[in-house]
Amino acid sequence: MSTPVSRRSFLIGSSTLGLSLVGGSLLAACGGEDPTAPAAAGEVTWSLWGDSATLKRHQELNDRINASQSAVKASFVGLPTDGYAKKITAELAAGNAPDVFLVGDTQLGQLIKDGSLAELGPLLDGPLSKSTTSSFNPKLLAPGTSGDGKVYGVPAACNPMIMWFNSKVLEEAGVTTSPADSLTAGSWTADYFQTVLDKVKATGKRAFVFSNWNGETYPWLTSRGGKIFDGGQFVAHEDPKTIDTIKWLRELLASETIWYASALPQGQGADAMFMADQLAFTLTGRWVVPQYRKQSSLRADVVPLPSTDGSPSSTIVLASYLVINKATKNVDNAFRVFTEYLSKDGQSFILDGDLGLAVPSITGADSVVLSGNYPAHAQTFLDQRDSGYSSMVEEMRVPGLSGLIFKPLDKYFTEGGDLTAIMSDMGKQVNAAIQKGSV
Amino acid sequence: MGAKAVLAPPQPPPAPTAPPPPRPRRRRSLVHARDGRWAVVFLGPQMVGLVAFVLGPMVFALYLSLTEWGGSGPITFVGLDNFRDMFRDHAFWSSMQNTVWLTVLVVPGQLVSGLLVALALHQTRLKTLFRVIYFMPVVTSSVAVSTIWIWLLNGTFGPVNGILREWFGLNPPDWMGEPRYLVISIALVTVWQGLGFFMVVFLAGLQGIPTAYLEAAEVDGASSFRRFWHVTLPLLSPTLFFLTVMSLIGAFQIFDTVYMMTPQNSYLGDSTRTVVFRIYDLAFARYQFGASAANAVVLFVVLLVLTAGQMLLQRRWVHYEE
Repeated sequence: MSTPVSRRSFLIGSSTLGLSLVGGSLLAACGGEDPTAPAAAGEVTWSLWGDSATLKRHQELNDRINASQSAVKASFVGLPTDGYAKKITAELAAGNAPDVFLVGDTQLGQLIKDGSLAELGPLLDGPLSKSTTSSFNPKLLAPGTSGDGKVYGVPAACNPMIMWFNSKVLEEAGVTTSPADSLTAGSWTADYFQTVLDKVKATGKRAFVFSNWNGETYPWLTSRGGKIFDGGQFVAHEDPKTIDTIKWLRELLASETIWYASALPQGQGADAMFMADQLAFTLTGRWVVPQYRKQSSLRADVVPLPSTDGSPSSTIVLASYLVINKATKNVDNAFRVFTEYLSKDGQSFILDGDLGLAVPSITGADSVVLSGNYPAHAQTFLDQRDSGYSSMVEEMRVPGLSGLIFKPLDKYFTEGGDLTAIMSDMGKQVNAAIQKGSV
Repeated sequence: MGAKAVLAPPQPPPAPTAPPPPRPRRRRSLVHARDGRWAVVFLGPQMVGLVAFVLGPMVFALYLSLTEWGGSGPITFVGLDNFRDMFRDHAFWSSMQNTVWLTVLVVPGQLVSGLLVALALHQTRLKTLFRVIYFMPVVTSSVAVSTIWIWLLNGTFGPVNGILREWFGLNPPDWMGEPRYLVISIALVTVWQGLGFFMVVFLAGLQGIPTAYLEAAEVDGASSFRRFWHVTLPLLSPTLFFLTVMSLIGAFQIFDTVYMMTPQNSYLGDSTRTVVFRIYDLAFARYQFGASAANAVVLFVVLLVLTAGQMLLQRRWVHYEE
């Protein structure tokens, strides 16, 4: 005879079963089912993002690391670019993040603040290291360094934002001396650049496409002597050179000398227009080299942004940072993989050939940029890496701070308005957010 | 002889003092153990999903809303601070206002367009073909749909403005470049993409209306508009109610279209930043998971109240066929 079961008992029973199955699954997940989970002692997992070709190259590096030593067994897990930061965040929260991984500069500050990363300073200058802190541009190390000077992230590869010029478009505009030659002659000044812009405009073409983000706005501002942050404070709103440059950019947009990127249709970017000989200049990183080189009819070269006095200006150097998970079982083992990757050999292997989308962050691996002699003044990438500055530490330490800067600028670049009032309000908001530590 | 004559004479009611006849004991809502055990086995996997993907995250979100957490470090309990900060934050009220404005545009848009197309297709022979065509955007990725519409609505190069200029001599606005038109554009795309779903459900509702009622009204001389207003619409009210609830919840939760159609780091985002977008932005761009969860909790409460209100009000205007 069957025994009756109350509704309450039924619900409790089925919920318990559900919970036990969930619990079991979670335990199973923590037990090493996930390939990116922290590995056992002697095993090191490492991850980064990229397309299939990039990830394949990193898998080959992983195999080289395993073949070259027996102290650790490295295991590489490539992840898609889209959603990478969210996946790493979730894995860190779940306690199953890789031992070594790459972090974008927008996430690095938060991970340092959260205490999720292992300190690298003593390891970098220790016996296991294949590179030292002095091997890197100290300005590029700044974002990976906490307020008390401890290093938590090292630039793994970088990209100085460089001005590319289209020789064909410039010649059509009557600019017979190439900007690179003008730089050598000391005449690549802001005033001369203005005459070049006017000549290009006279041909019916626009000089360049301007995108309002830190990778483009800041180089324009600093190339003309402007300052954005100083001593941990936002100072752009009080800096006459910065304000003059912002006004100048707005005038170029209003006079249709240059395009504003957000006004272009989806898919119609600066690169496409540049390769179609419709633009004289574009400000971008080394990642365009493979596609520019494929376009055989394109005659392009690079030059630093023009400065007020004709000397080479410095630019922003975008970088991603290699870090070690603080929760790693054996930090020395994790560092063995870390330093192999960052070493001259490691970076040369990763960036060699057509895949070379970046510039080595370490000095001494320069041949990957210079080999192939493309563009003709490829040395500019290395010079700019060494003289350039990183993304603004203040913005990295306060996620969302960039929005307080670039949104009002976007409105100004689009509609114009009272720049003094806009900048004054921006200054108040940005500095208040820096003081508060959040937006 | 009248009909009443064939009926049995009415019986006197039982005396008030007489005990009521014994009713068969109603079987209580119990299930037998054997069946119960099998039910547990079969429902267990479902409960796993419910606990892991619905109840668990809900409870965790509620807990997170009372904490400060950057996503990977220690979690600090802060009580109701996140809610206090949120209600004091202009950006929260702005996002709520944007959400309401978008809802005001989307809900009537989806209901009216869906109903009109369903009415048009109801009597059509090629109903199935049109149903498939109209349903195609529903099963298309919002990202793809948004990308295409961004191009279509581009103020300078877009074909929509091209047609308005060339064919009609109009001076159309920059749909994607001005805050007030950007919201309208997002609403337009959302309505367009959801049209197929609303049409199909309305069509199913229309097909469920017995033709006898409409024929009777026609015989009585009711015009087509009166037949629609007094017969079709009341009988369609359960469908209308269901779709209103769905549309309202959906409009409050719009994210992907807003995300895709709002340029990053643009001031335009201030006019399109919905509550769900803010929840995402706080968590994954600013790493303020506690504040993000507080927004999510408030959105949940708002939707709960709105849906409960709709459930209460439906008694006044929804007619269920007896």
